[in-house]
Amino acid sequence: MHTLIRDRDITTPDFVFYSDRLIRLVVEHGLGHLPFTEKQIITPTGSVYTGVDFCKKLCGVSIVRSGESMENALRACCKGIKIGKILIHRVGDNGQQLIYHKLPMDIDERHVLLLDPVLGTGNSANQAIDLLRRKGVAEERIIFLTLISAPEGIQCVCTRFPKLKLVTSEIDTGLSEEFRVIPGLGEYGDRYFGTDN
Amino acid sequence: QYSKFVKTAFEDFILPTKKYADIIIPRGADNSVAIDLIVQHIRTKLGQNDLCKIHPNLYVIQTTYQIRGMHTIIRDAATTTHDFIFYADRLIRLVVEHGLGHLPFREKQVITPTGSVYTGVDFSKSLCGISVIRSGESMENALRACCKGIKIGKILIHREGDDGKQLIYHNLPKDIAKRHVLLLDPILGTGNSAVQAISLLLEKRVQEANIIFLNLISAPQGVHVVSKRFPRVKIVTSEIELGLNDDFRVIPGMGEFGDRYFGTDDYQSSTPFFADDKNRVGLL
Repeated sequence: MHTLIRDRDITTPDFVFYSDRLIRLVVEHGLGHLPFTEKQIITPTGSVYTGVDFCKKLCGVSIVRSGESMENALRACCKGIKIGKILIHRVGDNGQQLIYHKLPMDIDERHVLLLDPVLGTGNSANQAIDLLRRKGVAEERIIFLTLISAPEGIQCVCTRFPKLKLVTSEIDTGLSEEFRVIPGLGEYGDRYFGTDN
Repeated sequence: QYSKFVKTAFEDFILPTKKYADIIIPRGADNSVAIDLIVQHIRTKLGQNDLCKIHPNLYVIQTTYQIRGMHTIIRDAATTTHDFIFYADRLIRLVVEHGLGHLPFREKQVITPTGSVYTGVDFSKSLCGISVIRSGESMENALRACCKGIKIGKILIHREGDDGKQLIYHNLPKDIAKRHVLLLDPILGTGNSAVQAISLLLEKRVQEANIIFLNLISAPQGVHVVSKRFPRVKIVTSEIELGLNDDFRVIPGMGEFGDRYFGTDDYQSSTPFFADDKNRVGLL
């Protein structure tokens, strides 16, 4: 699937289709890191099955615009999950501007799944996580879900927030001089929403 | 005295056994790296489900709390049909994705928009899904969601008591002999219907090693039956059950999958439990 979405000749419908599949896998994996409680149930045959119960207080926070592609997969896995949004504008190679945010009121009580498909320099991720911490979310309750990450970004986020979990599907080779991920998959938001030319 | 007795004895008796050893650790007990490696290997082997050790073609998807949570919900006799479908669909999606990972691939290089080269893989082309009516049809959606426009064939096998399945109806793609087949049936109980289905596929000249059997839960007896008869068929499941009861139903199981998924179950007659309007579950 990575081969297909990284190919620059792929069509938009195909890109969307395979990204969705990959995102679904990352989200399912990320959800496996939430805490659970043990629970016993009776099956229709009358036997007892010792299972687990899902963690209740969840929400997703997506980083506009590319993170919004991951919202559908999250909603497909967790019905009616609350989703907050953060808009961070990338000015050049540093100094992200946090322009807009709208988060659930009780976010400090919830586990947060932060959604952003590409982790490059880690600057926008850091800004987003800073915002979450300011709202009172505990660091170990944040799970950051991405499709691809550059080692520099991982370094940047994980040294700053060591208790946060990061789930990714592939680690790339590095960053180019313009701070794009290599080999990467181009501008994810443009390709997913078809606004590239 | 050493060179006369001990050394010669060593050379005569101990040294030759070296060629029978599977692993020889040089430098003996000080070699912590080698010993760590062996310990890790043993731990992995111990951790694998027993059946996986006996049948190398059995693949159980990795258990996470999410998967166990989903099993908990769909196995619960008190779950509503709506919830059952939702979580069964999620689980099926995971099994299908895992099963697709067992298909053969070819390496391929692509150019990414940044201009760099990415060495990846290309999907295997000739696929089809075969669902065992009725419960297998629930898995078709997940398969179609993963592989657009995949051809799907159907087999109807009726369960007559505890043996002797009747193969009543089948409709398979014409060129199935050239394709990889994903056989879909959520529950593997006695293995009889699975054996019938696979026998039919072999009659149509599908190659045994090209068949991947996807199911949600399997009973050990079913796994034995299928693997013994068709050792090259791969079985992908999400959980291995305890066993079968006297009626040849899977224990702990999840009841009649087709009924629960398509909402045709009838609390009064099929189960010994009842759920009254206060949603209390009790024994009749």
